[in-house]
Amino acid sequence: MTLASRELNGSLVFVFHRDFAEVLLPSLCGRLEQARALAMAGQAAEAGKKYQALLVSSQVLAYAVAIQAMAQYADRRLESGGQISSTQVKFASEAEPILRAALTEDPREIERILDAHPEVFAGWARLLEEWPVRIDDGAHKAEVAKVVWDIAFLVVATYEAAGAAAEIAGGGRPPIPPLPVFATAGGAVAASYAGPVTLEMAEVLRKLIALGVLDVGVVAALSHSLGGGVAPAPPGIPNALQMSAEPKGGAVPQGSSGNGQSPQTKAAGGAARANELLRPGGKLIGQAGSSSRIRILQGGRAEAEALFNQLVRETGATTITKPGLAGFAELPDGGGSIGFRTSSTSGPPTIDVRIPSLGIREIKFIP
Amino acid sequence: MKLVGDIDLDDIRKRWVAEGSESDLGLWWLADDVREILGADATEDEVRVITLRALRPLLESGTLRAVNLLEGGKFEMWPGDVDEQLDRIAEGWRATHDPGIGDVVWFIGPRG
Repeated sequence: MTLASRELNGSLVFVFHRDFAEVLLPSLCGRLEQARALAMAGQAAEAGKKYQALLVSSQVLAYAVAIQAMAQYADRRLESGGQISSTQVKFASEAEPILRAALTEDPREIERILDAHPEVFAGWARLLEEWPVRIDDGAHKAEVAKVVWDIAFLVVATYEAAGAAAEIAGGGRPPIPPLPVFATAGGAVAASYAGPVTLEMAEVLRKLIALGVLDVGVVAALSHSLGGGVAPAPPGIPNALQMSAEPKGGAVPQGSSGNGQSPQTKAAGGAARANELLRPGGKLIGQAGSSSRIRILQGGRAEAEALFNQLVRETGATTITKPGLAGFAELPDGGGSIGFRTSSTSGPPTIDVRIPSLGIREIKFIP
Repeated sequence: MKLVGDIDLDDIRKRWVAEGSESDLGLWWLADDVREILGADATEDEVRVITLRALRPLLESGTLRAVNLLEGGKFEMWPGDVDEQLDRIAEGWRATHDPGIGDVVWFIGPRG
C-alpha cells in the first residue's frame, strides 16, 4: 500500500499523497508499535483495540490508494477535472467517518458506523471496476481489476479469518488452529498487496478473538459490510474459493483484462524469472539507495558479474556487445534489458536494469 | 497525451536530482519516467519533447550534467552550452529511436 501510494504524483492527488505519507501512515505505524508493545506487556484487551482499529483503517486506506491512483490516471487521460473531483469527494465523504471511527479505537463506535454503511466497501469496489470503462481504457481496466482483486482478496482473507474466529469465540469454544486461508496461495496474495503488517494484524486479530479479547460485535459488523461470512467479489472478480485456488499472480478475471492474462503472465518468461531473482516474494533485493529503485548489495565486481551472468542465463537473455558497457543483454520477447558496468562514477560495480514494472533501475555492489 | 503540469515535472526533477547524486542516470532512465507519466499512448516524439523540457533547468543549474562514462569510473563532460547539449541529445535520441542502456548520454549530479 505504501509503495502504491508512492506512485501517486499527479497534481490532483498531490494533497492525498502528502497527507497519506506525512500524516496518516506515521500515525498508523505508531499505533502498530503501541499495539505490539501492549501485546508483549500482556495487555491483550488494549492491544486488541488497537489492532482492531488498524484492521479497519487498513481496509479503508487500501481502497483510498487505489481510488486516488485511478483519479490520477483519469486526470492523465483527460477526464474532466470536475468529474474526478466529485468522485474523490464522494469517496472521501464515505471513508472519512469510517476512518474517524476506527481511529477512536472504540469498538461500539466502529460497530455503529460499519452497521450504518453496510454496502460501502462493495460500492468502492464497483467504482474501481466501472471507472476505467468510463474513460474507455481496456489496458488500465485490467490493471485496476488486478488492484481490486488484490484488495478484495485481502479483505476476504482477513474477514474470513476474523469471522470464523468470532463465531468460535462467540460460541465459547476453545482457541482455533491456524485457519486454512493463511496457509494457501491466497494468503500470500493478500500479503502481497498490503504487506505483512496487515497479515500480522489479521493473525493477531484471529488469536485475540479466539481468546475472547476482541469485540465480536465489531468483527460481525465488518463481516456484514462485505455481505456475510464470505465477502462478495466485485463484478468480474473471482470469489474467495476461486482465488484460493490460483497461484500467486497467476490469473486475472476473464473479461476484465480482455485476454485473461495478468501483467506477470503477459510479461515475457525471461522478465518473470528476473522478477523472481530480483524481487523474491515481492520484496526488492538489497537495501534502498538514494531511492527505492536503486538497490545496494554487498559485494564487489565478482558478485556483480555473477549476478549479471545469472540473470542472463536464467532469463534466456541474448548478450550483445555495446560500447562503454562490460556487458549488455536483451531479455526474450521484449521483456527488457540489463547492462553491467565494472565501475561507476560513484565507484561501485553496477548492474543497470530496464525491465518494466520491476521497480529496480540499478543495482550497486558495495564491499 | 496529457498536458503535463509543473507539479508533475517538479516531482520528477526532484527524483532525478536525488538519484543522480549517487548514480549514473542513463537517458533511458529519464525517458522511461516521462513515458510512464504520459501514458502508453504517448508517441516517442512526445516523450522526447517532455523529457528535454524536464531536463533543461537541471542542466542549466548544473544540478545534472551530461557526460560520457569512461573506464575506471571516470567521465567526461559534454561540451557546449545547454541548447547545444539538448540538440545533440535530441539528435541521438532520434537516431536510436528508443534510447536504451548505454545509449546517447549519461547524467550525473555533482561528484565530490
